[in-house]
Amino acid sequence: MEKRSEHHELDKLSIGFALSFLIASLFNGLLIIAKETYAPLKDWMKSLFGHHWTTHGIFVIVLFIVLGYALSKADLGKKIDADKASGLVIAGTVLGGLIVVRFFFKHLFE
Amino acid sequence: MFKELMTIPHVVFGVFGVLFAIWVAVEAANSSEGNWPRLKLASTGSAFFLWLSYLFGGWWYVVYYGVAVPNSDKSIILAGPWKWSHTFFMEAKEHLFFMLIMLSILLPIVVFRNPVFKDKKIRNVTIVIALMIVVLGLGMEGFGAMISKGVKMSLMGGK
Repeated sequence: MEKRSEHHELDKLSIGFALSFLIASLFNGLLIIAKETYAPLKDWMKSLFGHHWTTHGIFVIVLFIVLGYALSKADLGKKIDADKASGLVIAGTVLGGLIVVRFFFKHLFE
Repeated sequence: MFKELMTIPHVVFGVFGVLFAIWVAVEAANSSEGNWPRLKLASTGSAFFLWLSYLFGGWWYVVYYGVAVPNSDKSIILAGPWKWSHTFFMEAKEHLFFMLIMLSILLPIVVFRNPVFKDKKIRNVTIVIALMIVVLGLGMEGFGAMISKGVKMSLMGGK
């Protein structure tokens, strides 16, 4: 059985998708603000796949996957190690989550 | 009856997705070459069940929950005293779920493509992703409870 104290770099695909998660999470939040404050955008999203939420999900997930693959081709291994990837995941969750919650928070007091 | 029963898969598969993510965190914390196959199984299972939850929940949301008829859950909530159970909890939940789906894709990528058991930092990033899934997943469960309560409050006349 091998010990886990050896040093291994996080592979490129994992790094690309970790960074992509942060970007796509922010995009997710910003797209909410955009579509909820600009009705023509929401209407256009609804016209694409029948419901703005369906289109929203497709946009976010496709961006995440495409960007993940694209970033994995870049040489990010020297700049982003596994610890930084952890930071990207936490930052993506916290910042992305805060944008969503903050945007709808006002409704709690209606 | 079909409509009512179809609320179950979203919740149950979501719970399974969270449980499998907890399994990943535990296996990663005690990782060795011997339990790498279990890590792969657990991370795949988490992704599989979270996607099922997303697809079932999304279908139910679009087809039943949000349709513009008087007896849809959304209409019932908005006609009652807990409007915010839709305008805050459902609106936030349906968009936070996308982050959960992205994490469910990222988790098996990290587990399958890296020797989790060999490097402490890689072990840690695996645990971090799994725990983010758990935190968001449990949040989804709580938000879902508030949405159901919003329907109930409307039907009870706000008492």
